[in-house]
Amino acid sequence: MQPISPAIQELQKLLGARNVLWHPDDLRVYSYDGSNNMATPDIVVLPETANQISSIIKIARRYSMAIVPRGSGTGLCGAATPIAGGIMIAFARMKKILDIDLENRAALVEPGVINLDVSTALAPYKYFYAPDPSSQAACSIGGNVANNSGGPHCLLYGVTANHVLGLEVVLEDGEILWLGGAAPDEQGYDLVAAFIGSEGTLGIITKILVRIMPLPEATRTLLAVFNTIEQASRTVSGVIGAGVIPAAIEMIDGTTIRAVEAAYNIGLPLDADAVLLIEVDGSKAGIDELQEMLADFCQEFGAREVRIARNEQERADLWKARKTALGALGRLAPNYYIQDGVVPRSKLPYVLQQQDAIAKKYNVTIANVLHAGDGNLHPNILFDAREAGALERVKEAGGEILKLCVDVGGTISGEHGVGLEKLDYMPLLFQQADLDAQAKLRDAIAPTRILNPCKMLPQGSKCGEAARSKLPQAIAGNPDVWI
Amino acid sequence: MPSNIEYSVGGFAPQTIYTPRDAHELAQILAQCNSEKRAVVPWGGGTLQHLGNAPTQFDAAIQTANLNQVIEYAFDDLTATFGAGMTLAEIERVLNEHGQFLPLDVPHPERATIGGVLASGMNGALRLRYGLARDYMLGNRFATVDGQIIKAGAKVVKNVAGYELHKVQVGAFGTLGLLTEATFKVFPRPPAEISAWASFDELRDACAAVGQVWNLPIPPLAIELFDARTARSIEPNASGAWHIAARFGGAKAAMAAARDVFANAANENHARSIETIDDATKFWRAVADMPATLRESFSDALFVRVSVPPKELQNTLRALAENSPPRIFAHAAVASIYASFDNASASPETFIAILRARIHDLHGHLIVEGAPPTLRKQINVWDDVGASFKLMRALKRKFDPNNILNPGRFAGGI
Ligand SMILES: Cc1cc2nc3c(=O)[nH]c(=O)nc-3n(C[C@H](O)[C@H](O)[C@H](O)COP(=O)(O)OP(=O)(O)OC[C@H]3O[C@@H](n4cnc5c(N)ncnc54)[C@H](O)[C@@H]3O)c2cc1C
Repeated sequence: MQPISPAIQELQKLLGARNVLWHPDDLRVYSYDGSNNMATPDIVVLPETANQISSIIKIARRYSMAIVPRGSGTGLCGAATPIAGGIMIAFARMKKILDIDLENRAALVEPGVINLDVSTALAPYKYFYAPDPSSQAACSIGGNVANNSGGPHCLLYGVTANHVLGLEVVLEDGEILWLGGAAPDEQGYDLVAAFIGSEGTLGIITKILVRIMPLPEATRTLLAVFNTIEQASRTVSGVIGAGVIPAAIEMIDGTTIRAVEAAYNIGLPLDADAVLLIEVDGSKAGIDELQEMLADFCQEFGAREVRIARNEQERADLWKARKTALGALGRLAPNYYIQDGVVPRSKLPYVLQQQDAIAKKYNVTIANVLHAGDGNLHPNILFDAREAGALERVKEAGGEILKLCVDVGGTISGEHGVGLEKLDYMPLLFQQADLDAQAKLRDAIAPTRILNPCKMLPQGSKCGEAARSKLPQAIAGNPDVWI
Repeated sequence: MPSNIEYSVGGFAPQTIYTPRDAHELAQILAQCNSEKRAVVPWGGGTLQHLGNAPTQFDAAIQTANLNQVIEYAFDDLTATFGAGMTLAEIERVLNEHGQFLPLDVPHPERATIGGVLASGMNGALRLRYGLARDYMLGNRFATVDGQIIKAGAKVVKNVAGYELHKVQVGAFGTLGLLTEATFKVFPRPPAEISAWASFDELRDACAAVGQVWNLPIPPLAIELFDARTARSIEPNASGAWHIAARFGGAKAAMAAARDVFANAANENHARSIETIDDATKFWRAVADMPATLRESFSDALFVRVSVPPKELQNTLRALAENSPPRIFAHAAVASIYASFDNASASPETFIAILRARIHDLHGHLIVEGAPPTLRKQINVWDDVGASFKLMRALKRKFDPNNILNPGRFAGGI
């Protein structure tokens, strides 16, 4: 057993021994997130208040240790991986919904609150929190804000950034600040926007004022089965091109359909090549017409079957195909590498075709699960990590897919974030000057880079080791640093 | 050749007016001004130059008039990229050909440029349903003082690659860089629309109606509130002390229902009259112009914009009317309120200070958007920025170390 370091002692004094983890066995579960990256923190702390977090940061600075916030660890880009070691802040003791304010359409929550718990708490009032990542039963609001997460219903409602009114943050100098709030149009620069999607690199988020909305009066859900993925993707761009914006349009491909069937026996045809799940919501008045119009669209573009949910149970059944997809893929291969590129929706048919060619070239199997309405692809490249060279081959195929997305005018990540996974691909999208400008934003707000180092902006593959040795200098020698 | 007087801000006229041919030339001019430490005011249509403090130094205006191209319009993807100098009216014409639109209903669309509207953070009634420009702006390009053109964000509807630098430019008054183009998610026009108007004797009832209409199962696109004088300026026959207008859009079948539920909500709150608005296009144009109409028609008045949490709407309107009731126009559900005070000139500093104290108690803030020149010199047009100012100042120093971009005009004196 390693001796207890002075840093641990100070943290124990601050938080109590049970809220400071340092034994290697306890640290292991904190060494990975939902991605294929791994690195172990030196210490994990479980604070309860922003004040404690402020003190933790001050201790970290004194010992020149990195700070890495971690929500539920469901992130898919390695953003919560402590690549330079250091102190990980986990939010298991900050899970309270502090206030529900229907008149202001706002709820104040702590960062560790699970996404779904917010909507569950709002349901009795007939309100909901719109951003709904597929991981919503597990992921935290803090993680959602840090990643600017999306979800199936973001097609109509927008992503996390569209639903955050204000933030309480702890800066790297330990100061606790409020940004934004219930009143509109805060003066000065839009710092709330700057913090959303900043992956824990600008500050630790300790409270979130989220926008809440009344539940729609009526919902209609359709599932359309297609013989070819081409037909399905043409349907998507047809619907959007016609100016109809459903609440969600999700797609799963043939490989995924067969995995889902093998696992859950939902009753999808095994020879189908694509299924679209379309949901519309709004007022009762007009919703039947909308449903009919969408069903007609699907038929027109070649759907061989359109199922329509007649009640809440049937709606849940239709969603099951989509919601169980990622889990079911586990039956096909022990590992998957999920990508998150976005393309203009009209380019979906072309991109899916090209992606097929890439799969053939690298001899990999790809199972597609798409937030199709947004043009957000989630190709899951299936592999067995025990097989020599498999991960490298899979990553190469993944890189080529991202390049394809950028080439047609898209982006390398729609919702999962950059973290560590996409660092190498940032130059596909941005010139050095663009990246330097982003670094200016980071350096204005968090100049020491003690907060989640080596994430978001490419700083070379040795960044992790370098950060361990350079943090002391950065903290001591930076003219921008306020203590 | 434009006269330099046309380009004056707060009594200053610049020595030079540049009208660069394109974004590239604009960036070069900016770099040159920076190396000579000449202060620059970015200039779009000039429709919002009344906002903010007078610049502390003003050597050159940089006109974006030639950056007026549609750079890309993928109508079947509902995305479009416009040069910063394009006017909102021109954008509307382009999008309208495909039944689409940008929900930025601001004054003077035939002159206001998209770059200027973004930089000033201006917005209109449709913000209730569609959000602010930063919510549907997907990315942009901006020129920095070192002569680079920086790309931020993307051109697709979802993107989390990198920091949201493009959003930080919105409402930054050009103090971090000059926007050269912006990409938007555009919206299909609702297949059908209906607009309605209700009049009330009591403020309490009008505000309660606003809350109720906001919660209707057919969500309104906009809910506006007017005092009697402002109401009569667009609906001459309006009678009653307070008036609300709501706009609905959606499936045809839903619109008759919208009219009914609106009427019910108004009736339940003792409306004295309820009417469907016949010429809705004209009506909403007048509403979009209202901030400019109020400011320009009563140029001797003190014109302020107040932002409070939505549930403080009624308390705020009461606080504003305590001494002499102002003219009122508000994006009611979001509680963004414009007020024009006829006779506040006796002691403007005290007047504003007292008002601000009341508004701060209600967790809001107050910005002065218009005042006669003599009066303006005596007041701070911006409200307190608070503790986050140190981050704003740090950002400004990173992007404009010589402080040449709109110096002194922005919140906190940035
Ligand atoms: C099965 C599955 C489905 C998914 N579906 C979706 C989807 O539909 N849409 C989508 O967008 N994502 C999806 N994800 C990805 C993931 O769930 C989201 O990125 C989620 O927001 C991560 O939340 P988390 O609490 O797990 O954060 P973590 O993974 O723990 O952390 C993510 C990032 O947030 C930072 N962070 C966490 N808390 C804070 C805080 N309080 N202050 C500052 N920074 C903080 C971390 O440092 C890290 O950078 C999915 C993941 C899985 C496994």
